[in-house]
Amino acid sequence: MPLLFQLIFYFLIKGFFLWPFYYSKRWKPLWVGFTSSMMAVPLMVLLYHETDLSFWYVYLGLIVLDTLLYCFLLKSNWWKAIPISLVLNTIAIIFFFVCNG
Amino acid sequence: MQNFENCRRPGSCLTNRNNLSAKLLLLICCISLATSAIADAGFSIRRKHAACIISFSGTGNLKNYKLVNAYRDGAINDEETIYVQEGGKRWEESDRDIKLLLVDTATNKATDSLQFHAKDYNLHMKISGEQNGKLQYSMDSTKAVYDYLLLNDDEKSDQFRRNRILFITCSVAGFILLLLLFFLRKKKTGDQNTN
Repeated sequence: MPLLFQLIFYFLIKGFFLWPFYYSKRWKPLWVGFTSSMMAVPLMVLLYHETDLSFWYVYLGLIVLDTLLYCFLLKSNWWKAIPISLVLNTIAIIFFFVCNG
Repeated sequence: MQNFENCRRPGSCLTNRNNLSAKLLLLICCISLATSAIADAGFSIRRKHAACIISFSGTGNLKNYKLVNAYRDGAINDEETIYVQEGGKRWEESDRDIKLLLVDTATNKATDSLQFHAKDYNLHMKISGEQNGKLQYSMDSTKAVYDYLLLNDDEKSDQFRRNRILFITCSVAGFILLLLLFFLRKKKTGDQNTN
């Protein structure tokens, strides 16, 4: 199954689910979700299949990265960015594990 | 000429630059998505169909006895590995029951037999010895993982090389897009501050 499908599903989770939280920013949350998915998904697939790296580090790294992105690119509100990042990344990583066996 | 005239109006150059950036972003996205469609990401691998491996240690502890696989000839030693199933389409039809016999080498008669069912788990049998003709052992089990190679370094095929390039390209494209988003935002803020 191609990488494209993973990208689409990740975009649905991290883009569309993010949208309601930053609705006032119009299309920007979708862009942020899309670009962060595009950067993270191929990297995650490589790390998962080719290395023995503990995915807790990847999970935490993604939460930190997304929190920074939401704060710098969308709205400078840490207390909003942290829980959103935590929830979206949890859903995304569960999806990743279920689909990658 | 029209572009230069537009630039005299405040903010018009910024709009042009943003339009250009938007087109560039769109182009990078399209290229990345198009290329990602042909890269295999190991999505929907069914790892439960993995073959199970049974290995042994401590067969040297069996004095005057030998451990034999009931379905095959020859004594089992530490180097021996039994592959219960090779994976593939005929998984449901394959034989997953392993029967081992403890055979007295002097009389050549089985004094103990044990049967176990192997599915989804790799088993490692640690043999500690024999007592009254019964095998003394402990069994470790680990989840059998389907050995899926996304990128195989040993095999220099074009497919693996292409996949590696596509993965890295896609990730780098995403990183560049994020950087662009970040710097455009900074630029915009800076221009607003100047105005």
